[in-house]
Amino acid sequence: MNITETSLSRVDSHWAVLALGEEARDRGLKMADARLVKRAVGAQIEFAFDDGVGDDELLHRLSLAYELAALEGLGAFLNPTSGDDLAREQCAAGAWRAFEIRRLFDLPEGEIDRVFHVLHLSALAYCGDRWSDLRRWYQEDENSIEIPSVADVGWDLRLLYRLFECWVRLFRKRRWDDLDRIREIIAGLREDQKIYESGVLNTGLNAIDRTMAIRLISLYHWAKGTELLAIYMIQGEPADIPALLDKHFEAATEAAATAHDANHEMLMRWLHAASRQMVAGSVWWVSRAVNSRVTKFVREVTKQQALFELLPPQRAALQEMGLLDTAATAVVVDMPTSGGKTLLAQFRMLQAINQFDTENGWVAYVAPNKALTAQITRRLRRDFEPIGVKVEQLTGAVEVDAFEEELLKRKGSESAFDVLVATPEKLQLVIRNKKVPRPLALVVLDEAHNIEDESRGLRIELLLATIKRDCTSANFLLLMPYVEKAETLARWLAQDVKAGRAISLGTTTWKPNERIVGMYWNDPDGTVRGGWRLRYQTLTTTPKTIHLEGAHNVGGVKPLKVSHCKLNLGLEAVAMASVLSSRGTSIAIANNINSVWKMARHAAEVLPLKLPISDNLRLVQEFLRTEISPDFELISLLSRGVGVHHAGLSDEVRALIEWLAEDGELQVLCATNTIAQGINFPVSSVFLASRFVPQKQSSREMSPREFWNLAGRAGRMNQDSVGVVGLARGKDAKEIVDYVCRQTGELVSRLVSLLNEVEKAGHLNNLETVIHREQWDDFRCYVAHLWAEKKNLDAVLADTEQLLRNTFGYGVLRTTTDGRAKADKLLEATRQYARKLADNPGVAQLADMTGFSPEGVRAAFAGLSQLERELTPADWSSGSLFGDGGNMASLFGVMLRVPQLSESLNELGGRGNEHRQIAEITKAWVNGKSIREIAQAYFSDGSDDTKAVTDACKAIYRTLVNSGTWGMAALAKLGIKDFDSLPEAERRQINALPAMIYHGVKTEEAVLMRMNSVPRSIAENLGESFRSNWEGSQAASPREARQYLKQLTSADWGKLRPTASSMSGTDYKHVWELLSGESG
Amino acid sequence: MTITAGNTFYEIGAPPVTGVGVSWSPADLDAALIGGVADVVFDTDGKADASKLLMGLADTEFDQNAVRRLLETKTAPEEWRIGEALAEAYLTHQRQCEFPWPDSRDERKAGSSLPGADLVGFHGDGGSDRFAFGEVKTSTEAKYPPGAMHGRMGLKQQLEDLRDNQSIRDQLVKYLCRRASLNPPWRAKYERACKRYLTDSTDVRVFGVMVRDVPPHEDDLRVRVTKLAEGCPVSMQMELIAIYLPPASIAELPTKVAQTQKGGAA
Repeated sequence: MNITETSLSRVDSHWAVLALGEEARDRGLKMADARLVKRAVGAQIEFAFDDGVGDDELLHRLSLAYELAALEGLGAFLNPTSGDDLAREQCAAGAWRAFEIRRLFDLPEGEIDRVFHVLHLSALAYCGDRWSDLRRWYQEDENSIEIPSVADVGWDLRLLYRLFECWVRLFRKRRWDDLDRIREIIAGLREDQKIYESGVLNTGLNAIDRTMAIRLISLYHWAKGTELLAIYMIQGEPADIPALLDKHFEAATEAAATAHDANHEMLMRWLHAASRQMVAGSVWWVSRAVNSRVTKFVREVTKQQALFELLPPQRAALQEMGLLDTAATAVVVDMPTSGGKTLLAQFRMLQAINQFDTENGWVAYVAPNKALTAQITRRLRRDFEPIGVKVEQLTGAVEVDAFEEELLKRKGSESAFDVLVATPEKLQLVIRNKKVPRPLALVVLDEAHNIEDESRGLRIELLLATIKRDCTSANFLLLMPYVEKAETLARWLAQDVKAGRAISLGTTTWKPNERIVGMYWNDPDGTVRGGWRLRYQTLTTTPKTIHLEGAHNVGGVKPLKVSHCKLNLGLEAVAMASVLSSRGTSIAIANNINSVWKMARHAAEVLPLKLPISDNLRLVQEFLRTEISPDFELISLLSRGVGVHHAGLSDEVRALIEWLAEDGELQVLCATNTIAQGINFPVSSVFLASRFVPQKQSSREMSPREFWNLAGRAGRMNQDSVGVVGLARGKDAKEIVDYVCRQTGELVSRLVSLLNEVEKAGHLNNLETVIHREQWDDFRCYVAHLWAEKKNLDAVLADTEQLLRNTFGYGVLRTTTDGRAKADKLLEATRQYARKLADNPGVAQLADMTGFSPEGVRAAFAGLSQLERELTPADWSSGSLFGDGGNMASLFGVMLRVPQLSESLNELGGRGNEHRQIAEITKAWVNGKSIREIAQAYFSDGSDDTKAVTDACKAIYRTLVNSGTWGMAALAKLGIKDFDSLPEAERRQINALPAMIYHGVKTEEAVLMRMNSVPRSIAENLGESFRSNWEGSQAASPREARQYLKQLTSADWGKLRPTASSMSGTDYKHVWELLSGESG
Repeated sequence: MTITAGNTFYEIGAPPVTGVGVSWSPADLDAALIGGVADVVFDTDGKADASKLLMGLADTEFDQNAVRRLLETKTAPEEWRIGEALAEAYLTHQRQCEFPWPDSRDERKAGSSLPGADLVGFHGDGGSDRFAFGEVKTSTEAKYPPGAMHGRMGLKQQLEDLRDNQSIRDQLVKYLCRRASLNPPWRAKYERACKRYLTDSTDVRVFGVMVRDVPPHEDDLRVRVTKLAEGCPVSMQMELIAIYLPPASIAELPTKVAQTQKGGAA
């Protein structure tokens, strides 16, 4: 059962709570919030609130009132057959609130009292679905869970203390062996009984002995219940665990009651409920009887990841909301950030693979960008490969290279993957070109709210529409945070009210932790020259974060070495992050890369050197020295625990920076807004210099959904009770106050918003012209795909409306009168466009093949035809293309004419003669020049090395690997006549070229290494060794290359490392393990 | 049930802490025993309860021999248990109290190292109700006050705990709450008492009862009444009651109670 705001407000009005009076209740709850925040952030932010006389006593009474309410419902809570859901809810909500208050109480002094206090609090946490808060409470004060010594205590206390240890293990579940040890402890107690029991049963006073005997009965049952629970949590057996727990805990309770031991009796009742709750939330219970793959998966994650229980939203999704209901063909999960969506997706994926076992079905996992694709691949491989589920990843390039082609086409027992992880753009190519000859069982779309994104939303919506149309057996799982009315989306995908399921947990009361959200600013402070100090004010927000009245001082005077007159919003953000960094990693977000570097420098001025440098930091520093430049500025910043994260870094560097942040190695991380899309790791605090994000030439306000998704990362689930989020106030305090109160709203189809924009501009009647604009590229590709399929105008026209109906936006439009008019215009414009395509039907096919719009294909053809001579397959050899001379520059000249490529490629050239410059950079990159060399040769004016390296990285990782590879792959297909009839070897060789550009290497074997996350500096050497020493290296798959890499020792890596590298063999191996998620 | 108020021998102190010494004649005592105290005391179901508690113990895989041996041995009711029953009956009839729990079958927590109270119930307070907690000591010691007043488990400590320690009082309230949720006849009293307690957790009545069989003397309670008054919250009402039974009658109580149970006259 999930605790809802309604159940909380119901328990707030319970007669026991109201007995205190509403005013006292409200003050008590506010006080609890304030104390929690003060305890968590008090060292950094001076929260001023008055701690009145009698507040302690008030909190005690209030917690008792909530517990009394909970106790009233305890019977129903424990009895699944009870129809009294309200009572059950009351129990959970009462426990939720009682825990909220009691966790703030000081620990009692005596050992016995402490043991009872901790166990009672822990049980409340479980019954109130707050086990993640409990674990954090354990971590915050290790003394609370210190196990009392059993030396010199009587048998009953020995039992009590040992059982305390067992329950601390059960509650915190650190590792598999943490739980496994419980069996040994209980077995040890049975042995101890022979020695110690008689000591407490022979006092000579019958009454005392009898009472003790009864108490021992209670303790023995408790011990047995504990043992059974521990076994169940690690093995998923015995299957009838609820009944067994009932039996032993009821007997323990009965005995405690008979001994008239109120304290012990209450504890037994609460632990009984907690044990049942623990079973109900365990991965074993939730996944019982799904299928054997799931059982294997659960066995793996319990043992390897210590993942024993599900978070409340996960449990609700699986148990109560039918995530695994096979009748639901489209499921949309709206869940708070950090709610554990990936695990849910894993369950659903395994179910789909099982369901499509005989047909050899596959699952597509769509992640929004390359970094997240790599991250999810690592996670899925880690969890799935041990149970025989194969996971592969496609590169972020918009082309299917030779290696991927090979991987995709295998089928039957030869099939290379069960799960394929890709970006939307890549999957679009795979689906449209029918690259996988197996049925698509399930599409998982992560961060699905991107469907309303201005630049990519339409593409994503049309990808789903294409899948609906082309892969009729596919199921859908969409994952997103903070979306209202998610069912509309589910029904669209399922094309059926009943088969579309929305699992909406966005409004659940469960949170990974508490959060304060507010605005900050600086006030001058005359106590020092140029002095200033930071002020912070929490705000009332839509997701009901904690609000404490007043403005509060943050840190001391002049927290950065900057005078008041030189401050700006970026510096304020990094000042906040620096002050709050003593609690854990804090992120400061600015709008551009230049500001990010400046912020990082200022943070480094005030943070101490991290001496000695940890192994992890040193590893990343060596990586940067080797892969970027020995003088790269980030290296020295890292020595002070300061990192940067922006588009001017490679995906590999960003992944390593994220790893450091996740591992607590970074104090301050300065980032651009792009981190919002990439960040998938929790931090302690997040500060934004602005709520506006750059958008081409202008900027736009971050949508509330984007903001909350980002703010949702503040607070590490297992470490921080309170995450801190701040927005720079600047000059618009009122706007910020309104902003954080705004509703996230429903998802709006980009198709609809585009049409609304057209209507607003008064161009609806010229829609057939408007759809030729850049924003409509994806739409035109979508229509072209229909052409490529049908190859006949009449058939296309007949199907046009169906094509549109497949989209989300068209369906939404047709539900209103005003919308219907727009939908009709769109239909007409689409038909006109389809007629236009009839002039040159081949273009549609090529558009499908290349990912260009039909207009892009035409532009490319025009460019190719103007080359000095027609290109032959020989021009496409790697030697010719990447060597001196060759046609690289001409090809880039053609690419610059293609609208979908030109904007990005122009950024790279920028000094006239763009195509030559780009070609030179490409050649240098493929031929193994280091980033530093490329930066010096093409991006340096001698004044700022960091800027030159950043620009070089941006050019390569943002532009070249995206547009360059895409363009090269497309031109090869367009520029070579009868490409498909070329000999297999030649085709493969040409198809491998884009991958070489993508990975910055010049041999096929090195590409295979890079596909498996081998650092570029060693990829060629490893590739060479693979070719010479590995049987079957000819036309090997990425998986085979991975097998080769797995068996390499540190010494092997050491032998192959370039002599100039500052990384050792061990370093290389470690980095490879980190980036690939593999272990050697 | 006939429970006499007895002759008031002394009254000391002033609210919130008072003390009273009452003496019972042999007839008063017999009447009380016949009138039901014996039923309350006599553990007729003791044997049955023990076997219920022992049922399933083997499944815990702990050795059960010693525990079983102890609980299956039938014993005569001890003096302290009869004293508690007398006190319960006295407070019920003479102080408008109701103690719905524990019932006669409870094993008392003698020897328990955990805090609590011997009697947990309600006190009718002019149309309202509040919680009543009672501690009882039975002593034949010819010393004023007797040794049972002091020590770790002495009456002094127990009453101070009930006066000063909110957690102990909270535990007792929760103990009743769980039983109140089964909707017993006293549910309304519980809610009324609870509301008062939640408004002011010192708004309770605390009784300390001494069952004695020595000549009455105010030294039994005098110092305690004075000391407990120091720091006693205004809303709390504490009363110490010494019930003086006929001289040397306590030792005979187990036999008398047993006879009463067999249907004979006391």
